[in-house]
Amino acid sequence: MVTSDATDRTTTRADEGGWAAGPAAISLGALLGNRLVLGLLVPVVALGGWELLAAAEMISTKVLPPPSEVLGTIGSLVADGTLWGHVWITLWRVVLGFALGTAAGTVLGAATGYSGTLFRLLDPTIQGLRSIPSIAWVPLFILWFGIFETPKVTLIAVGVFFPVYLGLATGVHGVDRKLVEVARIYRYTPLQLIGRVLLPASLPAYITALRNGLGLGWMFVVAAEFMGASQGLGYLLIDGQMTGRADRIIAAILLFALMGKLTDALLHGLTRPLLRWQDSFKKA
Amino acid sequence: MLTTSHLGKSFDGTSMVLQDVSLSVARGEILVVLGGSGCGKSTLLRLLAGLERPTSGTAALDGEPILAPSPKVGLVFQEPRLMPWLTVSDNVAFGLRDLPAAERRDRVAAALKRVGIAHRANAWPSELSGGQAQRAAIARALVTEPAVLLFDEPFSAVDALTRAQLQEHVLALWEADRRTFVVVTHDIEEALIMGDRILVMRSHPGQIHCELTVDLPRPRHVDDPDFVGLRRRTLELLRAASGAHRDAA
Ligand SMILES: Nc1ncnc2c1ncn2[C@@H]1O[C@H](COP(=O)(O)OP(=O)(O)OP(=O)(O)O)[C@@H](O)[C@H]1O
Ligand SMILES: [Mg+2]
Repeated sequence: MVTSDATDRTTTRADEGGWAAGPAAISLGALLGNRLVLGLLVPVVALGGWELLAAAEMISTKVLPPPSEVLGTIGSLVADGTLWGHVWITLWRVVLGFALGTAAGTVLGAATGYSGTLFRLLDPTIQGLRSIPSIAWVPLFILWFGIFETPKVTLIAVGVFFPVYLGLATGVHGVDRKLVEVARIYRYTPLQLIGRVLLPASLPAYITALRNGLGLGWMFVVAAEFMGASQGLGYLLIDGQMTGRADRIIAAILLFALMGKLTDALLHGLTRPLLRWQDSFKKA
Repeated sequence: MLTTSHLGKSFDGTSMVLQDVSLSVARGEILVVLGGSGCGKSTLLRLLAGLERPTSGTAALDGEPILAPSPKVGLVFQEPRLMPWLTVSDNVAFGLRDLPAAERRDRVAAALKRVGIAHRANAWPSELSGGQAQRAAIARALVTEPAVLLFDEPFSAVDALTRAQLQEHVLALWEADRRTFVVVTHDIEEALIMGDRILVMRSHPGQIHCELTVDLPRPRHVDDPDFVGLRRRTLELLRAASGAHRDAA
């Protein structure tokens, strides 16, 4: 669809103007029809323009260092050996916070999904807590847990908890009652029912919730590292601000984007085999 | 022996869905429950399976009241109800969770063979035809070897040819080890092909209208004159049952 559309339009314009040879117009059309090419077009043009403008000294490299300089900064962080430390500590905080938040969200989501009584008992409170902007916890966590790892990991866990809880509880509530009855016929215990029917049935919703949770984990690690870290990508951001080095800030932002994308791809890849049955359903 | 005595069920506390149902099914017998839509057939089976508690009266198996699902009673639902995330063999193994893996595998393979879908063992439910899915559901109920098997209109959603095949198949399964079968249907021919005895139900409230013994040798043929005669009589009874309801209303 996209291809033919683009081709048509290009060809027409070429005919009208009479300034482009047929084959060239068609290949341009085909190029524009390619998703990857089309998706990369804006960033490549922007980065190239940015680089050129910086080279021509039309924008201040102090305010907006060109891509080459940002890459150089990353390169020097790699060279002096500090990059790995920053990446590692941030990744570790996210993974730990994600694990804790997921564990809590899974247990409470499954329990309230399974039991109507528990749902009516706990859900109003959890929804109440959810409406607190999570960053608002920061001062309290620092007061309670000091300024080291505990408050950071706790904050991330809180951020991860809510989407996981909500996704799973909603997923479990949506499970077909007819399938639950089959488990009743075979006298499944509540734990067996949860483990072998409710969780697998809500797996698609659960995995989406996990990916949302992971995304929020990356968001909250920035806030967590703003509260006084001496290492980490968030620290690089603050440090860049303090020392007026926009290149380090942009380098850290790029690394956040990269890490976020990589961990999401990993989670997606690891969970995809679990949804094979759903894939085959879509194919059918 | 499976019995009920003055069994009644109401969901809203005022109108009775089932009322005063007393029946008994002998070991190794096929009892067919025949009735129109909404007369409480599924509710009756659910009471026998222990999925519902009676509002009045009792249901009992070998003298013991049925209050919850038991391993002695299997149920094949109106729909296949397979778990979409399990392969066909894992679905059949669904009720065998406490067995060692090797024995479970053997029994599942044997059950799949008995219902004729051994070649679909590793398929996902979404890849099955309606008839295959219903066979898998029957295998799942068979594999736990219940003394009583309840069928809730198991063939109502498949085409006529598949339906005839499945009927034959279920009868062959019954011939093999003569378990007690209770088959619910709204189809007269199905009732006459399968049943040793037929209970004709009437609705609002669901009650047993009358009972009919099918004295035809097996296998039964729909064009056999005796069969045709019995079909006419059953149709009259079913008409009378629905007429009785209309008179009452
Ligand atoms: N869980 C329930 N709550 C309330 N009413 C119910 C419930 N289950 C069944 N009923 C009502 O009981 C009546 C009998 O339902 P049932 O499913 O037993 O009928 P049936 O004979 O199996 O019908 P069909 O042939 O359409 O399957 C219906 O009027 C139905 O609305
Ligand atoms: Mg029914």
